[in-house]
Amino acid sequence: MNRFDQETRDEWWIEFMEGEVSPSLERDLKFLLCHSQEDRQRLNEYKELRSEIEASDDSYLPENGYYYQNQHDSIMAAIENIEMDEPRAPIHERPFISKFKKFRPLFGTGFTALAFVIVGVFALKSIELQKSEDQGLIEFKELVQNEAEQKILLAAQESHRSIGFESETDMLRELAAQKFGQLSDAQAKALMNQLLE
Amino acid sequence: MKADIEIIEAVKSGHRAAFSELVIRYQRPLLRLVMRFSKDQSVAEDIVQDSFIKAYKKLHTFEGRSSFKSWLFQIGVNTAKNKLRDKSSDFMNIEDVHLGVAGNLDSNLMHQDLSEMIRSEVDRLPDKQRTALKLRIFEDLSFKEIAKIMDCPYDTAKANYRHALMKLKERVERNKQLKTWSEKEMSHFFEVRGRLVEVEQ
Repeated sequence: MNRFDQETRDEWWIEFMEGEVSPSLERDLKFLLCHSQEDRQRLNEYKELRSEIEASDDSYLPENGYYYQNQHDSIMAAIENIEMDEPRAPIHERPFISKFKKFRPLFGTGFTALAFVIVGVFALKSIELQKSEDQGLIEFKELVQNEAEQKILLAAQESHRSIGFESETDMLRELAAQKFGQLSDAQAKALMNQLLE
Repeated sequence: MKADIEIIEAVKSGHRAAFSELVIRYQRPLLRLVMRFSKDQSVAEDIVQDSFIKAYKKLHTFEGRSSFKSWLFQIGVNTAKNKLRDKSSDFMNIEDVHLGVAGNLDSNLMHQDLSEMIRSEVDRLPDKQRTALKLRIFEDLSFKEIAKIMDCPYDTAKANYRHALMKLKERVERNKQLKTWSEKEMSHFFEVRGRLVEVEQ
């Protein structure tokens, strides 16, 4: 097992110990615990370390009630002499904003123009996409499939190594097929756009 | 018992004395928290007082999106950090200057018990990791609360905690090994006026 694997596993076990894993990962990790002595040991080491840290706490608090009474009184005496900060004005009433109130119509025009530009750019892009959709879609899907498979395979390799499968390859194939099967055409398109960017 | 938010509303509407209830409720937890950052009780007292005063002044900015306790703890942690930074920039004690510790390592380890070793390793952690670790383990706070106090995203709070624990595990294990080795080796020596003398076999 390389260092990266070990780190990833350590992160799992810490999250597991703290009750911070998702139900599905928790199920897988419990399964892993049943079958891997190394992981059981790793988890126990973290639990032990946590208890040791907890036991190392040397903080103490004064127990004398007068101590807290005095502290309370001095805090209350201090706030007698100070004023609470004024609540902040709503955003449109703040000086900087209100200074520009007279330019409000100009802002409106500016925003409208900007919106038109953005819509125009998107419209042009979608026309281009439409043109080449028929032939492009096939190539595109292929590309997305390859990329997605690669990403899923990599992610799966890091996070679910050999959990509940006969071999790692079986698990990865199964995961990749499941994940890609869940993508709609629209999602595939969106994913392709992301990848092309 | 009134909820914090009711008391806060009362204070905001001008009932200054109502703040007393909040002080009574949180002065102990805040002092305990602050003393994790400053071992000096008088410094911790100042920080607690300053934190309550700041909380009072800024009470209008508290919108109730988190608990008052988390918000107050956030003020406390920031005040503690600022105060301790100011103090450490004022002067540096010559004894705090480390001039190569390798020579002392073995004998230090021999006399150190596990808790002491863990405490010193916790103190050596980077600031954010140490804070996340202390808030989680000693204060038993949720990562959501820790994120609020540290003013960072939830995942960052968790990552800081994880890294702190992983780093500590590595260091504590290494120190334990070193200690075992030292004890074994040092059994051939005894100490005379602070110097190690080899035992003739």
